Amino acid sequence: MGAGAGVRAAKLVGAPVVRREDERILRGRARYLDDIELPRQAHAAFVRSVHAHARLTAVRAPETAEGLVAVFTADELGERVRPFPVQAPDGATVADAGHPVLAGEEVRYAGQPIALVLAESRALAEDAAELVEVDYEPLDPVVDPRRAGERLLEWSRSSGDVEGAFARSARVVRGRYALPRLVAAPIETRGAIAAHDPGTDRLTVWCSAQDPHRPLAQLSHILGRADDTIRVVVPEVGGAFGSKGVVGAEVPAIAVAAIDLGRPVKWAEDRLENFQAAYQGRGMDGDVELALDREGRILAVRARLLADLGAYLYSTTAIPPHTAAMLMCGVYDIAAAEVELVGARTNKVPTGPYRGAGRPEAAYFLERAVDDAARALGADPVALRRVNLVRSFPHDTPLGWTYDSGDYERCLDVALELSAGAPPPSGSGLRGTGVGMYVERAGGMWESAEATVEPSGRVVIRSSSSPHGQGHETTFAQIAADRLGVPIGDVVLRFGDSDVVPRGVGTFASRSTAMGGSAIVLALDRVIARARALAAHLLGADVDTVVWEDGHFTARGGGTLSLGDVAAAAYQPERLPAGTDVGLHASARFRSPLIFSSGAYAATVEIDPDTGILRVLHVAGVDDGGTIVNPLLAHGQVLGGIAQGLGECLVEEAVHDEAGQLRTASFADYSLLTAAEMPALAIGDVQTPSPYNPLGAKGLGEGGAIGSLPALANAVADALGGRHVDPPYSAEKLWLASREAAER
Amino acid sequence: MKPAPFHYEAPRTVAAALALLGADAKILAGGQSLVPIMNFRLARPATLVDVNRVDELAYLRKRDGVLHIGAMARHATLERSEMVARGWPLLRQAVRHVAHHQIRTRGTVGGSCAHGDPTAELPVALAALDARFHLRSRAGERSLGAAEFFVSHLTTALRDDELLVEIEVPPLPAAARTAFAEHARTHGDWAIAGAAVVVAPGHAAIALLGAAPTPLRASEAEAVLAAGGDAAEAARLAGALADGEWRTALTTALVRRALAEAGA
Amino acid sequence: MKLTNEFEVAVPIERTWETLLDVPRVARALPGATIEPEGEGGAWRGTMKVRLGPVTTEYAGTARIQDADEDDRVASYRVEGRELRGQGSAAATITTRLAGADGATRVVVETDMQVTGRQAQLGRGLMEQLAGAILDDFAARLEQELRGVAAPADAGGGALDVGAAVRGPLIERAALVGVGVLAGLALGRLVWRR
Repeated sequence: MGAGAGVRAAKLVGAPVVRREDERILRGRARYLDDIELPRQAHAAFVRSVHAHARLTAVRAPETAEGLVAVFTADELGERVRPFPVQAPDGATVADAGHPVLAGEEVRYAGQPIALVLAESRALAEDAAELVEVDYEPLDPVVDPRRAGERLLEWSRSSGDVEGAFARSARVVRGRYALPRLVAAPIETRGAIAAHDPGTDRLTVWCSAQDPHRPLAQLSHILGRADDTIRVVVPEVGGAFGSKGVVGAEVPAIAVAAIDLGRPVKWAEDRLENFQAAYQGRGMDGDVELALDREGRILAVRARLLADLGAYLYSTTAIPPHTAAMLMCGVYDIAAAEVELVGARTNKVPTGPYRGAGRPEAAYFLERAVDDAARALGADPVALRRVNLVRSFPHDTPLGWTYDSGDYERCLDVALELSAGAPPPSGSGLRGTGVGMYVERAGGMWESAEATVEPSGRVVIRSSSSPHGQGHETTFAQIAADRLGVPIGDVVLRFGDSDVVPRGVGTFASRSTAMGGSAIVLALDRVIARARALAAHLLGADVDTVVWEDGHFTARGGGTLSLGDVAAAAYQPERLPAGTDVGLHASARFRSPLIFSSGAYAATVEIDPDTGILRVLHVAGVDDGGTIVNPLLAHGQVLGGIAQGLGECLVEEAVHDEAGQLRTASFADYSLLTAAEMPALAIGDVQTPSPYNPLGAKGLGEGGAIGSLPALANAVADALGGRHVDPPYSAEKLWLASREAAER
Repeated sequence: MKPAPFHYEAPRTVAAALALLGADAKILAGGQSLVPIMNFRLARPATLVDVNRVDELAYLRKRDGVLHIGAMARHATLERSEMVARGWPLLRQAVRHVAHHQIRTRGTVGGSCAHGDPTAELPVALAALDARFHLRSRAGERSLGAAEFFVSHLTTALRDDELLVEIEVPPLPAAARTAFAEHARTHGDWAIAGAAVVVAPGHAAIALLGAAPTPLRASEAEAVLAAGGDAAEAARLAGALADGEWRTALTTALVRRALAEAGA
Repeated sequence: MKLTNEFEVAVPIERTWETLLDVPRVARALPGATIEPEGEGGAWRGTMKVRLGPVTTEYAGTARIQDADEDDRVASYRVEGRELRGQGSAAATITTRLAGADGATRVVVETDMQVTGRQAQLGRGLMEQLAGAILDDFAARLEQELRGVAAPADAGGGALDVGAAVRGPLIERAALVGVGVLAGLALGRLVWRR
């Protein structure tokens, strides 16, 4: 359908447009990493440490093995690689403990890659990997972060008169709340293919990643190559949830191998590797103290947070704990706060961002403390919250962030309304209801977009944001089609190839609509400005008299041109004013401070006292993600987030034994919720636009995982008469807790 | 995860299959248990004997009131069979809990029994129904009751050269009612505890899942119930066989639920 | 992983103690084990093949006496093995304590075991099952070794089928030693656990 067809586009932003990408995905036409086959590619398997902590004294490759191409250890990689870069969040101190590519003299977690084995097929590579002999001198592993001797992260902040607030408070409430480690479990595991062109010395890496920018920067640093000698291509990605933001240590290893061997090298991780070696999420506990006055106003919060960071630091390992620490005032107007954060070094795979990345942790610690405070004061937990909510914006928190906009009370009101739909008590179980509120940081930094209107009128947009299942191809097309007044079918999005898209930051922290979408808006506005000038020239009118409306430029004196007409002319130099570039193209970079989404969730549960089995009867969720571009996709994001939040509450837990062995290394032991476990849901939204971007958008991708967790935790505590239990809420745990609660 | 190399055979008759059995061969039936274990390289049979083409092993037959289940009968076939639902409702009740629909289309009754996973539903149901297991080797045939067939965790009485060919289920007593109850973390997950019950005048069978390395008949509880005793008491006696306070509570509750459903 | 087994033999404590210092004899009691007759530097090499249903594991390693306390009659052994195929390993410190009375000896076997590799990661509690079954069988065979009775022939392929072996030693033990408590202990070890 050409742009000149004159179809008036109905307003698309805010409309529930069905996803355009699903057609190819559901028909099996999408190309994921493992679908890519390069001629002569060699297949990689890794020899991984079986000990959680050991000295490596020798690694012996087999002399021969069927189909064996090569074996690489840290020795073979030598000086060609550096450890992963380490980054300290603002104000934090981090140890110089970047993850090595392949283990050198020491292994620090079970699953850590020791040797890269290349063979003609993956099966043969696994066969050969079994023949590699590794000599270990086992060392005692540290598994309990409270017993860790080493710290990888330290941060603290104190603001306001915390001591004074505690001294004059009417009541102090304290509690310890803990969240175990989780596995991100994307349906597509990690993988990469590296290929090197010796003629141009260009290294191309196809990578199942969250964006091309961070892999490129990481590889450039680790391999010591200029970034223009590397091209990263992100194909269709089957989910990430934060776990594909940093490339695995396996990727630089295969890159070196590809360069050495002169053959492409493919590594397609299997599920066992993903469990063992992909960085895990959560793994924090908090000692929280609230000082309250007689009226229930929270005068101060004091928190000591401990993160089980694992054996090494990736660049993002410190970020979720730091984010959690920064959000310890939550949605409440608290004048004084003191937070101390320690990241302990343990002999486990490192942690990193996982859906929510620090915000669920903060919401859980604070919201449980608020409920415990309500119980201690004999107050209604909702009423206590109302007394303390932030009501005026922008709001500066004592911990340093400024919340841009929000209407926390409205989120709470809508959530309570929606929770009235919960089924009535059955009369037989221990019933509990709970509320959880959150504020979370989204967006920030910058993103870019380039827009080209082709002679045919098609609009090609190259975005620095990158989808892993969020539906950017649809939401961005809606934004563009509306801005340009063209049919959505005329808009083409390009993502993921570092040679094609402009530089950006990446897709994480629910930033893409606000940042990537806004960059597109800016770029298109520049396109329109250029087109308007050209239209004026073509119409022989003064540019100030040319009006842009519904995809058309109309001169006050008469004459009208569509965007497509102008685009066609733009490629004919003889029709252009002197000194004008050929083509109709613009690029833009959009930058903004952090923006803050928020929400309120309410849950209703019942515990069977005879068995401890938990039934989640109802969850009401209200998220304020600012302006919603596509309510259908937004709803999908919330549902997915809730499924993961409930999963965390009900069944998910990465368990390490005292020897540091991961005991939940497959879906046989690590449970995920199925559709059958999803309760009745009532989803609502509040839209307080962010003042910081032209769309008014905030972030919505993670709210479901952030709000559902504290709401459910509070409902369970309510059902147990206030007794605290940390998730996951197994029947055995709840049964024991309900018996202890009954005995009191 | 790729399995270790193996030699593959696909015989078309039971005789041909038997000739291939030995110390380092494994039967491939539905593959829903064996293939993951092979992919994890925890099992490395030198020879995989694929019996999916042995048509003579796939049948569901009722003769003289007795149900004959060919070892290769798929879970889904059992689930759909009206004949089985009429005569042995417990089997349909139990098989519904086996994993997910997709797995049931491939998994087989014989395979599940031969694998001997203590949390499998069909072995427990078959134990409650006093099924007999027919084993054949080149040397001959023998048949065992459930208590002899299921030996321990992942271990049955099957010798390396034997094939489970049929499971024979006697008719239920007159006016029998049955029920199956279990608890798993999520839908389709392995069960943590469960019970298969048969209740009829003067007869009771309570087979427990998850209380032992094999299906366990709660004989004391059965005796109480068969004598017309209290279902709650029977449930308590059965639950006491589980390991630990919580499992006992859970098992007791599940047995109670099953007995109530079966009208006891 | 810590496990304990106990049994009694109608053999005087001195003879029991002597037998326990004979590493190859003690190592032979490990199920599915073959030990090279000549040791070196106090360490004997061997292999151990274990099977539980479809799961098979084969280790190659060494066994040695770690320390021997003549006064208190406590001996501890260190057995370490590496999987023949794959990177997994198993290591155990086995401590035997003797108490003598009336020409009989009570033997307590305490084992501290570590297993790395697939068995630890996968299989829903498989590692505990496997370890428990191995140790039960070890205790039973050790008892037979001490009584001077030959260990039962291994089932198929030189591997011990620990599931099948459950019944054998249990029945023998109950019949020969008549200690019902032991049967209960061993059964307790085998109770399925999540």
